[in-house]
Amino acid sequence: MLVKDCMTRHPIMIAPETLANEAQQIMTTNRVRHLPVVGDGKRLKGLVTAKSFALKSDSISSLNVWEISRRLANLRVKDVMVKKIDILTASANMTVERAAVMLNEARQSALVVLENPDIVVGILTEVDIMNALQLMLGLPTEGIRVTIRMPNRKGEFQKINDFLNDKDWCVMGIGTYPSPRVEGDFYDMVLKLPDTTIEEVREGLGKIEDHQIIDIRDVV
Amino acid sequence: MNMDKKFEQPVLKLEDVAITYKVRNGEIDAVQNVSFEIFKGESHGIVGESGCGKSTVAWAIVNFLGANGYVKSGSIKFQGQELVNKSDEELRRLRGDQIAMVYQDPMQALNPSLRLGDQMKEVLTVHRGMSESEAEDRCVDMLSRVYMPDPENVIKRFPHQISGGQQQRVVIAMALLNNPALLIMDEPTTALDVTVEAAVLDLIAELRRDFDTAIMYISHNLGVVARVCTQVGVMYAGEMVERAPVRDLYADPKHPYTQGLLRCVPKLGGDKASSQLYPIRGRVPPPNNRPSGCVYGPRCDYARQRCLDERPEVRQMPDGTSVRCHFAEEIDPAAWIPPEDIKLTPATEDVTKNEPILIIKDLKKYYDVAGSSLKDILGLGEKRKVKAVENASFEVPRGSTLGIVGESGCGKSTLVKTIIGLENATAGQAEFNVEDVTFDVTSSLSGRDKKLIQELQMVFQNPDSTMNPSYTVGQQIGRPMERFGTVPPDQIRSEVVRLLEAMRLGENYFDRLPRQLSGGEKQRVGIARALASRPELVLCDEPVSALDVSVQAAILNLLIEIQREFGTTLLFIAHDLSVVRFFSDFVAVMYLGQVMEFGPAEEIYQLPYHPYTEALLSAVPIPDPSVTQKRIRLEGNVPSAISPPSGCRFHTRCPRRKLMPDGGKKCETELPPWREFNNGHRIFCHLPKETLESFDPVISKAAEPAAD
Amino acid sequence: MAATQASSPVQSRGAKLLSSIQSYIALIFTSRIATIGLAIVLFWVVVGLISLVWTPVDPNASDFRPNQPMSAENWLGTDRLGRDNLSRVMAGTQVILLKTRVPALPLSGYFTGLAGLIGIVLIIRAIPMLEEPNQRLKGWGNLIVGIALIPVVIFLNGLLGLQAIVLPNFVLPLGVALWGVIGSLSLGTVLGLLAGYKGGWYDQIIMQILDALIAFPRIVLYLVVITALGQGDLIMIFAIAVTGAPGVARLARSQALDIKTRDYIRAAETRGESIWFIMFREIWPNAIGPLLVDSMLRVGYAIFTIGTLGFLGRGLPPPEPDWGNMINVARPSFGTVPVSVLAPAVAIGSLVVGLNLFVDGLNEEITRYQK
Repeated sequence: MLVKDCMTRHPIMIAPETLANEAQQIMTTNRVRHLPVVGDGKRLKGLVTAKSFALKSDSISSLNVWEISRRLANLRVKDVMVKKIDILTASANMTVERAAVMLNEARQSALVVLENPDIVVGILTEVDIMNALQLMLGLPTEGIRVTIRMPNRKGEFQKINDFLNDKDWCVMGIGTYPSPRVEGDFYDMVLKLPDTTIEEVREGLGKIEDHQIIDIRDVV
Repeated sequence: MNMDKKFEQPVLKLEDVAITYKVRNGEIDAVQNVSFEIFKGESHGIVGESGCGKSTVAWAIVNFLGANGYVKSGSIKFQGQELVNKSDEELRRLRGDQIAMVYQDPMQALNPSLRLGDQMKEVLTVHRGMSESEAEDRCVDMLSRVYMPDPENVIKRFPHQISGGQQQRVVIAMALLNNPALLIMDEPTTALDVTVEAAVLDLIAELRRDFDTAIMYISHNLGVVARVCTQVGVMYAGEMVERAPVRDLYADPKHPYTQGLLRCVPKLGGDKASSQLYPIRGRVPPPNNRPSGCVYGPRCDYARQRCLDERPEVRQMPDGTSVRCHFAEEIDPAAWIPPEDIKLTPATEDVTKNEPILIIKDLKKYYDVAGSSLKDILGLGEKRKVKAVENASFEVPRGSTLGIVGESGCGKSTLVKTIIGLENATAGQAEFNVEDVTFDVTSSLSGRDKKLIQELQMVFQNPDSTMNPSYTVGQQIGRPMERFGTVPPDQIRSEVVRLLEAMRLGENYFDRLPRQLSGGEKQRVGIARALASRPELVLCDEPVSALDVSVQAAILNLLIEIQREFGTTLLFIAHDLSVVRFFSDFVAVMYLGQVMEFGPAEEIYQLPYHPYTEALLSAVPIPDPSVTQKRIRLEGNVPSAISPPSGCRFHTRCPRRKLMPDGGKKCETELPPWREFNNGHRIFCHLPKETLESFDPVISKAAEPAAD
Repeated sequence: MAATQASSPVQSRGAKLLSSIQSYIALIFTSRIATIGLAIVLFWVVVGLISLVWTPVDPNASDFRPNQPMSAENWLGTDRLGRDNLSRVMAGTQVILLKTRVPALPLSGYFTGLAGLIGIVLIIRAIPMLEEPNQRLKGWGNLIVGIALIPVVIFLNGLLGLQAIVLPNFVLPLGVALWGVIGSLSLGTVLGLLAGYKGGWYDQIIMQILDALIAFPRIVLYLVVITALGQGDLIMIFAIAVTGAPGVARLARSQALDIKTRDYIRAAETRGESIWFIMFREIWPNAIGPLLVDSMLRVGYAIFTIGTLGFLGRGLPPPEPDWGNMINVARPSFGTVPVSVLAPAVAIGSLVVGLNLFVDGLNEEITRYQK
């Protein structure tokens, strides 16, 4: 899965001259947490996030109430946005895991997706990545979700594969990760299997040598 | 991405929008209380007849209403941002970057004096500061994305050097260069031929998925909307009367207007005998004189007192459709009874066995083309000919209807003009038998006998130019009677009135001038004028293609009625296969000047098909999403008629050619034979009869027929 | 169409005509420019009408001292011969707008002229007939009769002694400028519609000849005609008609080219109507609007032309005063009595400007109406 497959296309964008108030309103009514700020031709200028609107105490401490409210009323997006150099950006062809790493490392919640070289084509937020996770594990469809623990060595997945082939089952979602909190070198694999029952799965996959079903449930 | 819609905000949301034009004496409310939303990756159709405000809504969104139009109330939100009362500067930026529009006529959007590549690149270089070479690469990419053959060369050409369908592809590619969030398409395929249209519609559906663009698709054609849209809104007299997912709308229309519209359209799915068209009575009220109650009230079969008194509000129905009707739950379209005045007289006699009234044999019509080289100017160059009609042969039995179908440039109009004498035939015989006298029809008009001239009359396509604006209806219908002396001078008026009544126009139309008539009424007068000399054969050149569907239905019914009453033989040209099927006893399919298939109407629409007919049938938009069509798309363009392909003229694009032994070498060199089938059905093809019969039917109905 | 017209109620027809005239008048008054123009034109028409029955003094009587400036007695002064300028300016309207003087002519002249007209019509009619196989004979007949008509008539004139009978001079209503424009309108319309509707060789030949005419400087054309034929109202009308026709023909042709593509022309053709029916019953009524507007402008040009020629001493013959000639005569004494030059000059100028304003305003209103 690449960034272009899971990003939000056509994100709502605003102009630098927009009033900060208005931007805030757009964010609440549309329930988005990030607004790319763009100039002509959708070229990235900055990013507005929820944090942008937080008052910085040092800038207002010297002002009285009236001055503060007036100042706030006249505040433009370009005054509060995160500047372009401070924004995380990615290209549409980046892998989604690489994007996740970037977000993680920078402790940011969104990544603006650009193409040649600074035109906004989409935005990738934590929510999008979570969505991608859901999809990879086949959440929207009904079926049996089974977690299998297997040793980390060649040919183990082949066993499962052969079994699925025999049964003529399909897989709606799949994911693997190093088994957490166990001794030895094991991997856990989550499979989403439609059109079958818990019993059948237990009967079949449970019988595979060295494999162990550690969780099985029918979820929607 | 199939995320749930409830978490998502619509790309475009209109709420209670009213649009008003200022005119000399007051204001005209063009659109009232229109609300709808379009989500990302959705294509929302807006259908309605002309003048119902479809385009006005689109123009309001892009702030293109002109100097005297404005949004009076309501809100238009694009991605949550209000567009109404935005500054021009902000709107301009949004429009350029986020909203793109595709119009009906591609030549409107393309500058004829600039190369296509330069026009496309401009979008990227000026607006986005992209470098020249980078922009060019991107344009080429985008052109190949819209399946433009040979994009590297296309960008070096001028707009007039590519065909209409390709122009529309370029316009769509240009609209997509900016990767817009919303694409507004205003009748983008209306000017295109049906096979080209089918390809463009496929393209639109594909691009919608790929670019995740929200599409607002405006069309008058219910079939086209059924093919590309996911949601459909039906507009009538400036209001949106019904909005529903596409399948529900066609299978279970809630609003009486939607039901009426669907009853007006000839369907290719059903069979001919059962498909009767039921026009909607009355006409669309003009914007300055709309009824105070339900706008559709005066034309509605279910109207009650409440409908005339009180304006209905938009109501949500349990299944998610929204309807502007007081009694939508109570109305059952299945229980609808056709009104008394629409006669359902089935044909009393089988006219197809009558003796032929018109016999055409090997008719040819070539035009000289003026070359542009110096040699040609001096008259030394080789004379080149446009072969507009090549070896057309058929017979038309007395009292029957022959439908001629084909795409633009196939020679169907030329054929008819040759028969009526507006053009001279180059070669061939054409005989016309009336009252046991045989006339030769290959002569020019001035060389024709007055009797022959009287027996052949014509109905024209364009209602706006069919009548002379300087004379009254009565004068124009009376003139042929006077000229041919069919009616004594003192009875002309009563005869004209009788004809007017046969056209369902009253005597009060006698003294009206054409500018006081609507398009449908003008067309009726045109038919009356053609019938005034009591001709045996009336040639109709696309008489309904410029009319709205409800008017079209009325005119078609009228023509059928007249044919039954007067026993007139009709030659009916159309590009719409469903209309022809509904209307004709015989059908001739033409391609590039050549008749490809001829036979009784039922046989043409059933197996076996000519490969070209098959492609045509698969391209016709059918206003019923439950019908599935085999997907056959022709490649390339129609070749030039100056140098038509050798052998079979269709071989360059024939999708069935590969069924021939050795890949159809024979098709390129030899003229195909006529393959004869039942009832005089013949197909001009090299493929053997068995192969032609072994094709799958193009149109099949997936589910149970809709209730109507 | 006579039958249908006769059978429709006469009353409603009259009422309709009235209402359409009313709507046109209303149209004129919606435009301020057109109203002003109309007022100026009407002013001169009224002045001319008054002058027919009354002028302060006889315009041709030399009752006063020559070259007088403005005074209570002679409001606009007097000219070189001691004639009252005011009366002469008033009477000058007549020849332009109100009357045409036809000189005494022998009867044979009228007959020959009539024969010439019929001959031209026959020749024009013959040309399209020659193209069509079953009418070719008739066409040749027409052509021969047309060509032979004038010599035959001249011969007959001599035989009958018609030369001896001289009809006295008389006056036609409407002035030289109007008749001239009517002439150019009829000639130009026929040629233009024929060229536009028939196309092909007709178009080529007619338009080439007319373009050649346009290529000549106008004033030269006028002078050539007048020098060759002599001065006179009829000759001035002829000169205006011939020089104006090419412009009218171009406009008529462009109208015909547009209108002939309409389907109702196809309908008329498939009824087997003659080209004259199509040209004058189907095309002409729809082309006449722009042609009329154009000819109103041409009236202005014609007035201007008459003035110019009068100034050059080649204008309308005496005794009626001619504005152009008045300017010419008063020119040497411009330094001492400028009013003698200015009065007729202002008369010409205001009438032409008035007409132009009227047409411009009307045209603007009409085109706005069409939108």
